[in-house]
Amino acid sequence: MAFPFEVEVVAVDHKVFLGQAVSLVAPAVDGYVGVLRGHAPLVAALATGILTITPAEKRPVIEVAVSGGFMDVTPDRVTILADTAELAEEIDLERARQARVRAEQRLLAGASDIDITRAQAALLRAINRIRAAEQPRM
Amino acid sequence: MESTRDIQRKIRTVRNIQQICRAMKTVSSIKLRKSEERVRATEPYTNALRGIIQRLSAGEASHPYLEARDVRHTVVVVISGDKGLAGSYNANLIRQAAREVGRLSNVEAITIGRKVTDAFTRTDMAVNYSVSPMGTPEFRTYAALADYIGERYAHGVWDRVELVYTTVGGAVVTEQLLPVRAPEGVQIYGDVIYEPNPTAILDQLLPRYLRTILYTAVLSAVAAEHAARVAAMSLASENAEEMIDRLTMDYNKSRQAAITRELTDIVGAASALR
Repeated sequence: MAFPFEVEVVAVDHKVFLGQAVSLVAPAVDGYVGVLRGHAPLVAALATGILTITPAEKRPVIEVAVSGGFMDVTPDRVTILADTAELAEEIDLERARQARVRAEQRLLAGASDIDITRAQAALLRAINRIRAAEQPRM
Repeated sequence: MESTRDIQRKIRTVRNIQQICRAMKTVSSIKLRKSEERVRATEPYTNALRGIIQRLSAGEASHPYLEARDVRHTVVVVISGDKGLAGSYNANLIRQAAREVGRLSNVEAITIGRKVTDAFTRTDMAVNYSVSPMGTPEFRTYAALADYIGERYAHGVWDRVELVYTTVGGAVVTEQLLPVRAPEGVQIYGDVIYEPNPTAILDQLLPRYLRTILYTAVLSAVAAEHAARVAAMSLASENAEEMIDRLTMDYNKSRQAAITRELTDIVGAASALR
């Protein structure tokens, strides 16, 4: 028997998801963290990865490509503040692929340190979005 | 007295101006609605962020952004609009900003928006950085600016950062951006686990907090500007209406006077012929 809790996913300028869930798995900086109802209070920094939410109603799992931000967990509520967050079903695969190519090219061209860090981050985000979009839905 | 035709021309001019004012009012009300929506859209994020900071700063974790120092160098960030015709919106803001700057020594300004940038450049203020024209605000621009400000604060170039802008309600406010003042009303859930640790969380959290505060301030200022323009333009078209009424009255009077004059002429001529 699963117990639902409230999940809210917000990006800087829009709300991505709000609803009841029975579990979620989030990409924290030290690895993926699973959360169920009644979890101890936790504040975790997020890395680039895929956030998976299992909704309370019988619906397919929700996948969100997130990069950077935080997860604030209280016993009955989880708030995820992401730098970027996109529902897998809304990702424009073509654009993500183009972004990946651009980032790869920039890395190959090799510029200053800052540019490399930025290009690496961009590449990571692009790969993450592609992965989220291509994953088969359960 | 002006000729009938002159008055007619004047009426036409005023009517044209009135139409322009009405059009600007309509455009601004649409923009106002959109910009208010953008302000509202940032609220969930900002509130959640504030909640985490409350809990963290109640603990012992520290960060350069939270530390107050003796103030030697201040920077004032001022947000105005790009364009005029918004009543006293820009004037009020620039007046308050100039007052803030005036009572401080060793002060620099960061100007956002063309109006304040022009005003400060004209008065030989030390302007460190400007976004002018600001156009439609993009988060990325202000995130970069917030990072720049934060970095200079952490390195001790500036000891205090103030923000002067107009809130959605239309009031000009001065807020302290740095050092970050922990929000009041702490809500603590016993022991909180911090992953990886409180310091690392603060390191990631505070720059983001700064970015959102600056960005929301810019969005509020933009909404306030549109609201001010709606009010100014609706006042202007009311005034134009009044002026048209007055001119129409003058027009009718002068037309009647002309008719009376002609009639007396005719009657006079007729009686002379008899």
